[in-house]
Amino acid sequence: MSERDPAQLLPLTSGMFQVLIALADGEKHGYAIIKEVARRTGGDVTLSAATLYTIVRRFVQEGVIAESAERPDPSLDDERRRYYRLTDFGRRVARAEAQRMETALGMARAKKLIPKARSV
Amino acid sequence: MSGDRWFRKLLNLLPFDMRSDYGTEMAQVFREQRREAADRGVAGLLRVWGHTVRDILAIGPREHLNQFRQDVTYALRSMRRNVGFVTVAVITLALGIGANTAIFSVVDAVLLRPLPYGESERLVAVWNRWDGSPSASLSDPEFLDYSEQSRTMTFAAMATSSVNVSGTSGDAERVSAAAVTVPTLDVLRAPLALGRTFRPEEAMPDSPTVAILSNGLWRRMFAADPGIVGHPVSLNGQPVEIVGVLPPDFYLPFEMTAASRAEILTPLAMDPAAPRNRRGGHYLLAFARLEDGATVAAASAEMDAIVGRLAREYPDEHDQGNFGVSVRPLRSDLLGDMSTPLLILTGAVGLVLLLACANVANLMLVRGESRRGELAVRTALGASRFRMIRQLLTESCVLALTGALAGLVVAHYCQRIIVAFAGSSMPLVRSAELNQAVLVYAALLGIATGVLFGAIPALQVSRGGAKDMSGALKAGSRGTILGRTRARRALVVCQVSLAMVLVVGAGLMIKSFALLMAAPSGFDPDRVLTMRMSLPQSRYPGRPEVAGYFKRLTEQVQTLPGVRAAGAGSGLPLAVRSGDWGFDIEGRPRNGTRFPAAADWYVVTPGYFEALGIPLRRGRLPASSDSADAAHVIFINETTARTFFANEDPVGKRVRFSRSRGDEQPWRTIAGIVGDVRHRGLDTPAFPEVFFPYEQFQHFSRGVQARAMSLVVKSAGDPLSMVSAVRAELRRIDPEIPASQVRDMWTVRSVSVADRRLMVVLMGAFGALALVLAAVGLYGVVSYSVAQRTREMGVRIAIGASRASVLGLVVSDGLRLVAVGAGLGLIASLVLTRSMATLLYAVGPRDVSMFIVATVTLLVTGLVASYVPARRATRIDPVSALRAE
Repeated sequence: MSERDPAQLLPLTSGMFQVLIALADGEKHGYAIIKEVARRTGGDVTLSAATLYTIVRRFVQEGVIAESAERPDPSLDDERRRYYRLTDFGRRVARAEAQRMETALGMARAKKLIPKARSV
Repeated sequence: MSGDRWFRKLLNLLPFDMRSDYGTEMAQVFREQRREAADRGVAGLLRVWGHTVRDILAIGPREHLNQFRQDVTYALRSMRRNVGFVTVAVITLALGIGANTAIFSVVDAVLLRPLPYGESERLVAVWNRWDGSPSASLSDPEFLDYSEQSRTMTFAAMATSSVNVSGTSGDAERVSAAAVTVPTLDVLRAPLALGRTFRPEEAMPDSPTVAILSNGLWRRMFAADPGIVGHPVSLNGQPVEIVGVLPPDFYLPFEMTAASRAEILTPLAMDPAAPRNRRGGHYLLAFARLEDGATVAAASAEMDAIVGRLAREYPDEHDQGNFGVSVRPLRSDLLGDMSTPLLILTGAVGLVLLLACANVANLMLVRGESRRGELAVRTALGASRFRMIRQLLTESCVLALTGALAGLVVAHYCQRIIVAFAGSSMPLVRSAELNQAVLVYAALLGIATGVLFGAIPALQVSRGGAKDMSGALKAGSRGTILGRTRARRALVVCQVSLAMVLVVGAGLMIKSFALLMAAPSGFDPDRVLTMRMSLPQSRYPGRPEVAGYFKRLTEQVQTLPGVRAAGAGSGLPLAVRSGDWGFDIEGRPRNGTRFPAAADWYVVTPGYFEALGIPLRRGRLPASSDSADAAHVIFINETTARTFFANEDPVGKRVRFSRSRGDEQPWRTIAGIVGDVRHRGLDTPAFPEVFFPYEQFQHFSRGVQARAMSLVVKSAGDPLSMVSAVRAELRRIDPEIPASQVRDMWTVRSVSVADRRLMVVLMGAFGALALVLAAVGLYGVVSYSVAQRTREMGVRIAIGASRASVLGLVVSDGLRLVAVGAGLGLIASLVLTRSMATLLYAVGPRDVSMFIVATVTLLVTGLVASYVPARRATRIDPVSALRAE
């Protein structure tokens, strides 16, 4: 499993990618992921429960995310909730997808389809 | 709350695993989404609901498909890892499914495909019946009376014959023909491919002026010329106009089993104005279409009333015992004798498939042992029991469908063998094909088979759930292994009992067929060539011409080198037969107007009996001195002598045959008695028969001659080597008379039992297959048990048990299974073989000898199957067996 090539899973759907982004800075439970994705995309990507858990199920099977064994402070935790975190492999998948998109962007810029990125 | 319930219901569209793993969480997330949306009012709620419903409707089918694909991929991967197991299983299933598919294709062709007529379920067959004759043909007056008086049916009738046809190229061909009543094709609702049906004015009493061609003849002789209608064709040397062409695959009723189907239809002439008081001459095959609303029962009741009236009107003519008319649905009337053997074959081949399933289930159980580790790991990783069962069932279905696919190849070849054995005598069997219905059947059979043989192992392997599985991770737990062994032994017992039923069935068929082939046919088929020729009325109008032709023919053929004897007859044993004809015996009073005797009648030339090796019992055989102006004589067979001259010597007695539309028949003196011949079939005892010398023959209808005769030639060597010489003689006498049905008498005899032979071959093959499958199953179980008991065997040998006693131990274990299975199988056979009773000749369905033979066969098979692993047990080295523990 350790040497699996993340490219096997690419390209990701935008929902899948957003789930990875949402988990990039720490573990979250399902509803939190949906909220995070909606907030980050300004409501462009709204995941239904069914879509989210289809993605979660696939990612768990592929070892992209894992159910987190650690629970937050019990007072904050609803025990029915499960928390998910990115695995190392998942992090590589997210990175590979981002790079894939960057390459695509680069091509579009070279053809002047979109303006050059402003340097920050 | 109700929102939750609705959501739960929606979740049912998702795969079970997904629901069980994430259902609670999804419901919770959805609740939170609703709570948040509620702040934005009804519109917000509606949006959340709409979004969710749409997603689930899209995801459900997709995920199901994904999961199925995963299961199949997994199944294929695990099949690739077990090539040996897969090969054995697929071959076993291919044989089982292939044989079933082939038989189904025949059932489909014969029993399931609709008759080639519109609304064929409303067609009925109409037969006269009296004591001893359940299905007798109709005479002209009877047909006219029935059809005129019936209000529930529209009648049609046909009479078959054969004619010489020649088309534009001038080549004459002898083909089967049928004269049909004018409305026949309308009654059958058979649309023509070209042209029109007959018109009432075309039914001329003399000779036909119009004809309808079969599709085959139209293609063969006229190259499918679309403009053929209106052109002439020569029938028996006379030009008639072609008015129509039949559709492809069309056949007339009662031609289902006929060796050759009518290729020419002509209108049947019947004179409604003719007196109807002579009601003999039964030759019409009648059928009818029920009027709207009429039922078979109503039609039967109506016919009873009509026959009652006619019997009062013609008391002298309808005095056969219990004269009546039967009205039967056409389909069952035609298929009656074909459905029993086909249903038995279907049952038998179904048992073969069950056997194959048991074998594969057995293999799966063994394989389950070696997969316990793998399955335990998957359980530990969280796979549910449901998921495991589904996975195993998917694997067995993939395996079974692979088997079904391979089975199609088997079916293709089986079918070709069946068609080859069926020969031309079973045209419907020959039309069997692997069509869509058959392919669907094979696929369904594959899935059903997969579930059947997958179910036991799936439940077995997954039983006990995680507890058992975690045990499996450590070491084999004794309890389940025992349970599994018991299941496998039970499967073998089932296999043996199924095999028993099949072997008994096959044995009965084989014994019956052997007895039939050994039965005295009454003639000697060795080195006899036969061919049939028919003289056209145009050029052979009367008896002198007809008799002259056959006189010259037989006399000239007799002089050919290598010919021992030659003659001709209007009939031919096992191939061409006539109906019966009533006659008076001098000095014997009639019972009312009823004749004291009746017999099947034939016309023969000198040499006929000699060529066929039919022995003379008393008196003399026909001779060339029996000419038209000599004293009239007749020859009879032993059954006629026994039946009508029980305590007297028939030779020298005089008889006179009835007349219907001709002159009074002369008195004829019985000149000789010949041996009985099983004319109607090897399985049918001889009927009373009489033989007219051909020069003295006078038909009951004025002007009718015995124009069609079969030549029989006994040769010194190979009869078929005589064909060209005989044909040269035919050409020399009249080049326009073709010979048909050229074959030797062994072939005639063989064709007459083609259906029985096919049945024997198939039942025999199924029985043999069953034996092999049962032996393989037993071998597997005994081998496995030897492997499991290696240590025990080692101990036994170490403490001094002889190799022979170890051998005995293992073999007796195997034979115990066989004995139990055979016992159960015998009981089942006693019940099941009863259905075969009508197919058996001279053998009862509970023939003790066959039951004994079958039991011994199974025990010997069991002995061989257990002996091989038992030998292995005796070679166990006690030291290494004990050390291994």
